Amino acid sequence: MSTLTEENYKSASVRRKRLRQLWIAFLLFPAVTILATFVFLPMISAIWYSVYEWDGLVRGDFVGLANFAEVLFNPQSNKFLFNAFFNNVKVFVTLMIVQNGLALALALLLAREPKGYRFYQVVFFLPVILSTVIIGFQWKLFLNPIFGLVNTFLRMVELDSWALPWLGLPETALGSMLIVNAWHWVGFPTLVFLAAIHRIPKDLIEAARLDGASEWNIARDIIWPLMAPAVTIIVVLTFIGSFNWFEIPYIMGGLEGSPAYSTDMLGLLFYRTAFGSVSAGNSDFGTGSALAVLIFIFIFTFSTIATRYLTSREVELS
Amino acid sequence: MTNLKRLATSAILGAATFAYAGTALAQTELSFWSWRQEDVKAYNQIIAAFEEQNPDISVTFTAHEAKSYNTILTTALAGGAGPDIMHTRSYGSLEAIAAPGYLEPLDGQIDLSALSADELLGTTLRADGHVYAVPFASQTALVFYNKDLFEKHNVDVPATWEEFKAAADAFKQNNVNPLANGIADGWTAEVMAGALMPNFYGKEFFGEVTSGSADFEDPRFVGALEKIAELKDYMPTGYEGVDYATMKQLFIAGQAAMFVGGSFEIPGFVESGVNFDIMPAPAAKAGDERMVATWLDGGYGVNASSENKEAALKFIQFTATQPFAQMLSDKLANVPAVDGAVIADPMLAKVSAFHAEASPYIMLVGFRFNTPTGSTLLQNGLQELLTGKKTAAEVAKDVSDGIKSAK
Repeated sequence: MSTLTEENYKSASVRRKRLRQLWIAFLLFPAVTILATFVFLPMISAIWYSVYEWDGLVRGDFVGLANFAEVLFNPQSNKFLFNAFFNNVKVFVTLMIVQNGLALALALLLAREPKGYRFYQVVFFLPVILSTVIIGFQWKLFLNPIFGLVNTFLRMVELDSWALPWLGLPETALGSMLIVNAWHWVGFPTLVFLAAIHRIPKDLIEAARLDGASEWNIARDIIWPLMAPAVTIIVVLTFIGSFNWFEIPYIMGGLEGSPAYSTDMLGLLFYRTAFGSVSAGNSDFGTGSALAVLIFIFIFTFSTIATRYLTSREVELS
Repeated sequence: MTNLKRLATSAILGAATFAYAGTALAQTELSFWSWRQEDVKAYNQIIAAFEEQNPDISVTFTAHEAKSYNTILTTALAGGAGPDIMHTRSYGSLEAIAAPGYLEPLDGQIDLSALSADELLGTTLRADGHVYAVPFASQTALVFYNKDLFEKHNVDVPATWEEFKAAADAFKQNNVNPLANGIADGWTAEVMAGALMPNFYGKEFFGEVTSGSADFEDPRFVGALEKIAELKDYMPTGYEGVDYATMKQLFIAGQAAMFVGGSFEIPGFVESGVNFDIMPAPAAKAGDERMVATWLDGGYGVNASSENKEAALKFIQFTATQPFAQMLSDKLANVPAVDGAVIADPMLAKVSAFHAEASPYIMLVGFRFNTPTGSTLLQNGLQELLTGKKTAAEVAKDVSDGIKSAK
């Protein structure tokens, strides 16, 4: 097939080639325009905004890196930055272990095609297609300390002391939100892992089994290295998702990372700073933009390093 | 002949069109933005009354989502797409749009004589002393109580803090939540503390702390916070996770005897059918003052770059008159800022009477001008205090340090 098109190319006139290029450019145009307008332009304008002083939404004087210094070195603002950053780190680590770990376990189970596995595949994936807003509100109701489903159930089975105000205690709020997030998203990595496992030639596994390898050894020494590309994707996506985490904490804990900043995230901090809120104060585009630029640099740098590293350890199936 | 006829017809048609266009041109259309989604119907009635007197002006009222209103409004104003007239918030949030020059200064253009100096303070830009909006209504933080539950369990309505705690204990023994309040939503914790604390820190504290002669580590403020910490025992089980909606549900369903909140709850509670009454926060001890905490909710302002400024000012003048205040009180159950309205609603009249002994709602009135705001500091401090993470003295220090570093 490929030789055929190559021959076609060789015999085709320069004009036809031009036409094809034009056609490609035409097809790319909408995507590039949208990307430029909604991704690159805001990014560049954020950098532009971050070097000015702002009085609400009115641009003031050029201040160089003063906004960055304010965000990073003023003890009254960097305590929020570090607190939020540390919370995002907690989110990443927890989601890697709980969400992706569970997804891997589920994928390994489903790959063995137990009875009704197609049904489970759909069930696990179902929450992924629901809107995050709906899930946030629904779980907020489930976790209500007085009327909520979770505590009603706990009281029913006489575990009254377990019926905590989950979203109200600084110790449990973030954990509860992470469980909700894992419930919401676990289907996605499961599906990616499952697809990766299906890609592994069956005879490889059969051969190992004939040689007397245990199921654990097969999973560790054959399946795991061969599904590395899928792991790369999921790790990088989880990293980006964790450091951009916004919807669930916003819906379930509010803009202030309630209670007492225990669920504060970089995204919430940015939103509060840049746009202000009724009680948090007035909008400040300067420090807000500086914060956004810092978040972007951090995520970009680390996801690039992670991608490089993880790709280098991928095993090619040939 | 036919040509002449045709000419005459087109001349008449042309004249008619011109005349029609003329009336359309004379009709000035004003856009009016607000965050009061629950008040759309009442505002349309009030606007109809204005349009009757001013047939050449028509006003379109648009209510945006309350939480994002400040963002929507400031973004629109900065982009030159703001409304002609707008509901502004008060104090710090007003300054955010008045300082960059988005609002038309009103003193000199509008007769503001029906408003008190105290109320005008909420819509005055401190930097230049001009008034940028006509104040519309005040809100009051106070205590709601369920009359049926007090009667059923034979509990006296408390007047002092000791009586308040005794009443709360009595309800607890009868398996009724003494208080409906929770702290999951920081702002409801601020309202609760804002209602109860003034009677402990006293009448002078506000003036001293805003002028800088006292700070928030003052023993009066620490002492007031300690009293708030005592409420832990009287809030519902799991109060740490009880949000605003749950609080209201508990009170309306008769599962809690008292609800510390803002006077803006009155219409909702009336509609729910719960048999309630209101009282100022309890006095520290018998014979002491019983103050409520009050603040100005917001005002009506004119877009400085509006093309219909004259008509807009006409409408704003209307909001500074007694007939408007009367409608505000009758239709919206607000205690109007403008003097001269006869408050027919007995509950509202009671709120208005409480104003005789009042203290400003401290963080909103005094400390929402800079970042971090006093509200953010207090809200999080209260969550830490009431979840046992910090002591009253530690919270007071955090608030004090935060306020001193604010800019």
